Amino acid sequence: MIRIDLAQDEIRNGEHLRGRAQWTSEGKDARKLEVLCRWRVEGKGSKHEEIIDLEIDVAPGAQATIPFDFEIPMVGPLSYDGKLFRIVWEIVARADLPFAFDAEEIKPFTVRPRPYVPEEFEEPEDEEDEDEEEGEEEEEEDAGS
Amino acid sequence: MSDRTDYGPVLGSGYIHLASTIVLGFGIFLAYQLWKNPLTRQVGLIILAVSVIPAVITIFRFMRLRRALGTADLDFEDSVPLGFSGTATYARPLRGAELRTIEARLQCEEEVVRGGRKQKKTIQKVVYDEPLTPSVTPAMERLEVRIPVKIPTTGPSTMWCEEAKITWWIRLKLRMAGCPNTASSFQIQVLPAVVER
Repeated sequence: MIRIDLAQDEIRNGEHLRGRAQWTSEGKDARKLEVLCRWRVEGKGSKHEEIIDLEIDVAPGAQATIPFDFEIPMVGPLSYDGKLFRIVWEIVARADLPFAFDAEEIKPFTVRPRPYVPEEFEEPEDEEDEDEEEGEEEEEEDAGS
Repeated sequence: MSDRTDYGPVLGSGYIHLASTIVLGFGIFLAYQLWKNPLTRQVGLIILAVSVIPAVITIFRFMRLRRALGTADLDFEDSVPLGFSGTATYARPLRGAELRTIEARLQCEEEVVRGGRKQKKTIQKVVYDEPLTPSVTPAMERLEVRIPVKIPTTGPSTMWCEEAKITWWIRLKLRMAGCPNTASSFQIQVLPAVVER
């Protein structure tokens, strides 16, 4: 049996979702226990999913706890319930059992928009430009000395 | 915020171009068939001449439109998060043409791709549609329109992946004097953050 506990059910993009997944064997020991954070598009015929982060415990045995701390990307997407599709965020815990179907537990959560701070969404300057600037600075220093 | 691409100017409905192309193709085919027989050559030439007319009119109208209207820009004062309230400025050169009326709308569109590799089908649906009230600033040989825009706090924000997309649009319909009517569409990126008041 797998149990997922989340520190909160609602989170904002750019924040960390913390919690833990607890595995207790009901007869068979698990070979592997993995916990992943993903979002997926749910709609008729749409099956797109993206895994954001993953925690793995190899050979957890009869009992194990995996604490997790997943960062939700700033760019989202946000949870959405539209007319053609939904965007669902969830934590999935899966135990790989020998000669049996894997045990799985899914816990959905909601990603809400964070308060708007313009600096957080400024596009980073190109690395090449930064290198050029650094080069220029070095040249100036050389000329000064 | 940087300029956005104008998905226009559009000359009327796309069906008009399609119809004129079909008529032209059909005319060429018939003329070619009739040309083989010396007795029906004249009929073939007449059919060809008639079928060319809609295509020539379409090309002429499009040339007039391109000459009268230059490339349009849509500028925002700032980035556009959820709950944004600000003004967009639509500007485009006008040469010998005059704006009669302008209609602007803010739209949010969902798009999903369904089916496998062979039978991919794209479905679109407008999930938010709001008429905007633009105000035209008089200028010499230039059209300048200020459009107040409010993005709802409830969203959604712009997103895209392989199979689904959420896009926001400002769509404009311009009724003109001195050149054919036209339309412009600008995609705007709505950030996944909300303005708190």
